[in-house]
Order: sequence, then C-alpha cells, then structure tokens
Amino acid sequence: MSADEYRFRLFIAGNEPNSLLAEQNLRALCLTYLPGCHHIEIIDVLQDFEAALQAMIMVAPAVMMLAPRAVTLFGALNDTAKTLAALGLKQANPHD
Amino acid sequence: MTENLLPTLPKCPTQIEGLDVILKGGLPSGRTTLIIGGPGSGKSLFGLEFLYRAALDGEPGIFISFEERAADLRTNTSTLGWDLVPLEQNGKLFLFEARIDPKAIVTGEFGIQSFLAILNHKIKSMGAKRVAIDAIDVLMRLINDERREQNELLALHQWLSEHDVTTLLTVKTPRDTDHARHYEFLDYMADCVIHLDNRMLGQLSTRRLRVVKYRGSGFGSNEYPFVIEPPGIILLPISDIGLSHQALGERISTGLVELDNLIGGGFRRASSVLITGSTGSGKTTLCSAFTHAACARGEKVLCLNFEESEAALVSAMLSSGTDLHPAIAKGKLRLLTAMPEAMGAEQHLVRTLNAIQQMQPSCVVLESASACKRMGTEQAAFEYMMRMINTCKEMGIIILITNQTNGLNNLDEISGIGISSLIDSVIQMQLVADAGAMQRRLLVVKSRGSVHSHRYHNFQISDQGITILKEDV
Repeated sequence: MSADEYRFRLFIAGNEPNSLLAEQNLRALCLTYLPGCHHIEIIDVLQDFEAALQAMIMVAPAVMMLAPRAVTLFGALNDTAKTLAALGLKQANPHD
Repeated sequence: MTENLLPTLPKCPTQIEGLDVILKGGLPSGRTTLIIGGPGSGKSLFGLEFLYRAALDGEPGIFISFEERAADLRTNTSTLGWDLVPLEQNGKLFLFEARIDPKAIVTGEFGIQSFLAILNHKIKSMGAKRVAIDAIDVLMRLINDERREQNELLALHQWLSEHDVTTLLTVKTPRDTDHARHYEFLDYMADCVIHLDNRMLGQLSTRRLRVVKYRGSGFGSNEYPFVIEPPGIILLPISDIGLSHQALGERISTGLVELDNLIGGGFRRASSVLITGSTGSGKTTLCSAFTHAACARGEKVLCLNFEESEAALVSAMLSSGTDLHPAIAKGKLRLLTAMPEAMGAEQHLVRTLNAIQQMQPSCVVLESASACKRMGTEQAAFEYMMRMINTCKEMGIIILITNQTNGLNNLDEISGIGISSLIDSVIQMQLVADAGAMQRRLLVVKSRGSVHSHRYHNFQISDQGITILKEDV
C-alpha cells in the first residue's frame, strides 16, 4: 500500500477538549488499523476559516476522509465501532 | 407625550413595507429576533429582505443559509425584481452557504466554533451589522441533545450580542413535542419573536404575521396580513391606521344639481359615501354622473369595479347619457377592474393602493361592497373596505361605494359589511311597485355634517341620465 492511501483532513477548533480528543482518537485509530498507509492533515478553523468555508464545515471537530472515498464525520470520534464502520474498516478481532 | 421622554430601545429598521410600523421602528438593534413559521411561510425571504434593503443603502449584511443554495436564493428573489449579484460583488451582501452534509456521520461531541470562526471573519472584513441565520433548526437537529443544543444556542446568542450585530434567526414551526424544545429555548433567548403562517381562508391562500414578544418595546399585537410580490414583502397594518383622517372638506357636486340641493350643496371631500340599493336601482348610473362631473371639473377619478369589465361599464353608461371615453383618453379617469375571486383581499388591496399612489385621484368610486365579499371571507372583505376608506380619508379623497341589497326596501342591509361607522353619507335607491308600474326613488339616509332632506324623492333614468322629479305638493 502506498503511504497515503487513506487521506484525512481533521478540522479542529484550537485547544478545545473535543478537538484534542478527536485528534488523539484519529491518530490511535490510524496506527492500529492503517499503519503506514495514512496521511492526516490538521486544519485549525480558528486560524484558517477559509478552508472551513470552502469545505462547508460548520462544526468542529470534524473529519473528512478524502481517499479512498469521501466520508465526513462530526464529533470527537469517541465511538470507535461507528467510526470504523463509517470509514469502511473492519474492527480488529482480539482473538486473532 | 410622556412616551417620548422615556429612553427608547435602539431599533434597526427592516425597511420591509409596513413591518416597521408594527415593530414601532424596527427590530431590536444589536439583539436577536426569532422568526417562526411553517414551510413556505416566507421566513427566508424576511431574513433576506432585511439584509437586501439595507445593502441597497450601503449597509453590509450576511445571510447564512442552512438549507437553501445561494444560487437558488438568487433565482428566487429575481422574481421579485431583486438583483443580489452586484451587492455580493461590492461586499454589501454575503450569502453564506452553511449546508450540512446530510450523509455526515456523528460520533461524539462537537461544537459550532467553525461556524462562528467563519462568521467572525466575515463580519469583521465586511463591517456587517446585520445577520440573518436561516433555518437554525437544521443545526440543532444535528446536535440532537437538549443540553448541548441549549449550550450552543446560548454561546451563539452571547457571541452575537458581543459582536453588536442585529440578528434575525429563522426556525421552522415545531411539528411535535420533540421539535418543540428547540423552539422553547429559542423563544426564551430572543428579544423579539415573530410568527408567520400561510393558511387557507375561503379557498384563498392568506399569509399572516404576528409579533408575539418584544422585550422593552410596544408593538402592534394583531395578526397582520401580508403578501409576497414585487417589490417584496408587503404588510398591511390595518389597525395602525385611521388616526390621521382629514376633516371633511369643501362640498363638490354629486353630478346632479337636484341631489346637491337635497344634501346641502353636494358631497364633501374626504368623506365616504355609500350608495345602496337592489340590482337595477340606478347606483352605477349615479356614480357615473358623479364621475363625469368630477372629470369635467378637471379632477382625477379612479373607478374600482369588481362586477363588470371596463368595456361593459363604459358602454352601459353611454345608454344613460354619460360618455366616459373622453375622460379616459385624457387620463382623468382610470377604470381598474378585476374579479373578486382572482386574488386574495390583500393582493387586491396592494393593487388598489398602488393605483391610488400612482394616479393621486381626488375621487374614488368602488363597485361594490357586496362583490368584495367574494374576495374570500367577510372578514377579508371588511378589512379591504376599511383600509380603502381609511386611505382615502387620510389622503383627502372622496370615496363612493355601492352596495347591492337583495330586498327591494331593506334598510337593514344599508351598512354593507360592517363599515357603517366609517361611512359619512348613505343614499338609498329603490325600485318600488306603485300603481302597476315600477317607480324609482331615493332617500338620503344619512349625511354627516349636513342638513339634508328626509323624504323619498322620485327620479327617472333616461338617455339623459338621472332626473329627480319635482315633488308633488
């Protein structure tokens, strides 16, 4: 797999708790499920409102998966099962 | 007045026709106003017109649309004759498409900081003082948690207050108790709350507006009908008129010298005259004599007719000796005809008031009060008549209204549709059977401010028009 087969754009709002949590959750998920084949771009909407306006992202945190297909998620990604399902990834089986 | 000595709440005029009268100046400046209404009730348009009118005067505004596309807003408003594009190009209007991806998946908590960051930058870069947020319920549904919704709304409200922007927030009428909770909190949060609705009355669609709350200010508390047609939203604040009637003016001829003599010299300017009678009793002929005489004096007359077409009316008058063609050709007479059922009473009213404004007539003839009932409901017809009479009285115009009664001798029907208190003079025309022939007669029932005859007077209608017969002594 190429290094950036899974490309994510994470929109955060500064140091706000949910945004910090979302970044933490996304990085953990990528390390577990997409090692070596993901790229995460972080946009702070408080700094770069133009990017938020263009992507029509009104809430933060929000994750846009740009590749391999387009998916948008709102929230801190607390629900791992739901997040994986949305991204089309299989949950790791602890017995494997 | 003591009212003027009290500190007044700063207001932000909407410039929406008629609304500022109801709001006693406009929306609360630097605060939030909530507009609640069902689909198609005109909420978005209220928000957009609030910004559009100000933008035309050079005051910038931001419209945030959670539902509609900016392109659709431009197209929809072009039917009202608005061109938003130049205003957008020179930074006076920003259509902020904040549509939320319906396929987006929610997992965990989030806030509206991104939305506020965009809004913050736009407000600062444009110098905007007016913001309209359309369909905030879309954002609330996405959060879908009562406590967090309230927190976000409160944060938004505080943020807007701190930025000193006058905000118009629209929300759809709650369909069930689950949605009602959005509304309750918004209602509490807003300083001014306006309800809109679009309902059917007598098979005609009728729009209504009602202000239900206005912290720190008085407001017109009735339901006000409104229409949406070029140049925009037009409200008809009926109860806020009638305070500036002109005093009854000089006497002018009724068109019939004998009738002038019966009522002390003629009809008075700025008065309202009701001519009542059964079909064929000569009401229209009398109106035509009056019209003809007024035009001959060089005055302008506007005839509103809900019963006959222009051609039918003009030709009917020819047979009784009145040729209205020259007056029409000289622009002294304008006939405005329409079927009462063709549109709602509000639209009739807008059309009529526009005609009065354009023409500036000194006399108005309206035929007939009875036909106006077909505009929808009796209430609608009553409001139409009342507004017409009030407008004429304010402008010093004399208005003649005919009313068709059913009985041959029915005094009870004289008042028409509850407008009798606004009527200054009443002339009743009758057809009575007398010794095997129909006899025409008229009675001056009422003539405010005049000594008038109290007797029945016989008259004839010939190709010379109406002739009042000498009394047999």
